[in-house]
Amino acid sequence: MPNHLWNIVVKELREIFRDPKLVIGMIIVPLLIFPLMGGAIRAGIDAEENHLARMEIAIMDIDRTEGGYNMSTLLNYVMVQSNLTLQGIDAQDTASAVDWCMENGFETLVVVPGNFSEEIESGHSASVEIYQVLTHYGISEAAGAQRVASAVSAFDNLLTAQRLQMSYSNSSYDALLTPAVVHSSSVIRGNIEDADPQIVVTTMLTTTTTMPIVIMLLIIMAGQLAATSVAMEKEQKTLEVLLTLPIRRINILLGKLAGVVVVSLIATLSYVAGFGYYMSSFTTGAGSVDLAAIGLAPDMAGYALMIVSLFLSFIAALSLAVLLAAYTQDVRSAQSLLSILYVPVMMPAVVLMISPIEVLPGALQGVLYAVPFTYPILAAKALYTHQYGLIAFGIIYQVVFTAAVLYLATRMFSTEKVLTAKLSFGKRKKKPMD
Amino acid sequence: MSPDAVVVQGLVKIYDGGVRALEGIDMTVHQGEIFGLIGPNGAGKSTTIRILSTLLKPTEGKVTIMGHDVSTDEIAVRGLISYLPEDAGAYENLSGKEYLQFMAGFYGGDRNGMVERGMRIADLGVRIDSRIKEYSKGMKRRLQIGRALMTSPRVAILDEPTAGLDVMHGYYVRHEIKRAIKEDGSTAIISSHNLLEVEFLCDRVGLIDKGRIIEVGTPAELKERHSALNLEEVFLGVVGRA
Repeated sequence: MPNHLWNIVVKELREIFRDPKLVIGMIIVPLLIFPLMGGAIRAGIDAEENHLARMEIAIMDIDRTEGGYNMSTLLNYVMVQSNLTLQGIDAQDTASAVDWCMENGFETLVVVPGNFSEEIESGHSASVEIYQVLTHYGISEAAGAQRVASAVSAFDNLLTAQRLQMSYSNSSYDALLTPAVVHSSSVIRGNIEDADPQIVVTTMLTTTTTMPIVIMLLIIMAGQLAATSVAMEKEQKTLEVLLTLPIRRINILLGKLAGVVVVSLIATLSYVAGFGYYMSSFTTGAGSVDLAAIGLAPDMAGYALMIVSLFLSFIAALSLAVLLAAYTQDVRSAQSLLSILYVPVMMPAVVLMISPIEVLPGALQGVLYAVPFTYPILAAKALYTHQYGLIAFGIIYQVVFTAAVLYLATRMFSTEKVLTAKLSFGKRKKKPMD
Repeated sequence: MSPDAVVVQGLVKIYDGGVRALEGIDMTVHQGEIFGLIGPNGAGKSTTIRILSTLLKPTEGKVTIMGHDVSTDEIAVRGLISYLPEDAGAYENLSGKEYLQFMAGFYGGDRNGMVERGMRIADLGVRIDSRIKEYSKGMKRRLQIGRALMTSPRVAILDEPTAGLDVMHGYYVRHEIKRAIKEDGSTAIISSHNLLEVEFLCDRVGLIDKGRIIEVGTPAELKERHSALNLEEVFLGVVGRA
């Protein structure tokens, strides 16, 4: 690298790394945000499981018979077998029982009416009443009622199986209750994998919906960094001095971009490290599937394509940001004008987070394929699908697009327009300087 | 070689959008002299100085610095000049010394010697190692003067070198400029609204108005020509806007 270019790169890096706001935003936040997100989600799941495991239910069993056996005895037994801890209470009526629950911190009350056994034994449906105390309206508040309902359903199954066994004495309970059993498998790249497709898709979505948001944020942050760097030079009049130094102006532009690229690369590594930890928190979670075990593990080719695509997106965004910032006179205007860049950066992230590109209307697909920032998002998904053809095409397109924008930015820096160009937005032009 | 460091002939500048900033400037600056450019706001001082500094391109006319054309031989011109813009800033997260080292990195020769000279001219003591964002306005300007003069430029182009400085800093900067320019045998072009400063610093002065040079001479010649006590009276008399 020529000395002059290196001199500018070192200056840029010093400036950036000595700015705590930039270091926190570009490097520390991506490094911490994913482990924190993964840890928080894992902790939430663990807490919920612990909460459900030791759930205490208040039960007002009016049908209970001292020392005897009836249907409510069986229901109590099934609920205990379903990991519910029962606290029997005596109360005058349901309202008094609810008051007792609220005073004693019980969230769920089960009332077994006095005619419960009689109704069942006579071939009618008996009712079980569930009262759930709602205070903060979180999802976990409904868990008590759901757990009791599941236990009642297990009670129903047990009773049904007992009745059926009178007619089919050689059959097991399970066979009597589920005469037809569904077994779902996923066909992944022609291989039959023993994994429920619903769970596979859910696990994939958990990881792939996060990536577009992160890629979008990284590109926006890098663009802001580049635009701020140029606008700051103009605002503080340091650019004027730089432009009068005995160096080629393209070196000034390339030095600035190289500085931001180095920081962006560190930010990307920070993101990949954080994201890897985030993903690992899901592979052991309940209701998920180990994607690597069913052939959906990322490989080196996938990572290489994604990094190249992400890198090209950075360069394109940085060049566009520099170009836009050259039309402003201060940091504030540059940040405002940079919002033009947010549309093409955010659109693919938002759309592809909701829906795969293949199922979108043709016109929208065309727009997305024309936006260079679409390809790192597609590359992130291709990590799992291993469909790299489109990504390779995208990288070629990104190279052409980036080269064109870089050329325009270089042209801008080579002329006096870098100092005099302004977007007037229809206002009358004033004399620029005396 | 011509004894003239700077030659400006028929310089016209029309900005995009049609604003005419310069209407045909003609002037010469001799080697080793300090030349003052004075004029009212909007007269064309900064545009002239920016063209001399290779920041702007002339629309018409020719400008040479030490024989090099500013339009076609910019890199050579940039190696000969040092430009100090009005209110020039520096990189806030660098120390004063790092800033001087960064700037010296673009020149050949004894870079350490340049930095030492810059530090001596700026005279910021131990504060040269502090971040620039901790500097006062006066300290920043002294650092800029150090930066502009440390390379011993053949032509120093200084736009309002003491604008906004208090009496102490202004006095220091003026004397440092004069001492360094004369010590190096350099040439300087100084734009200023402070006519006492111009009278103290400059060997010759050019009055510019409405994009044209309308009067040139030494301060003494100008005062005698207009029967004035000082350059302020000359200025008011020539520009006629008392």
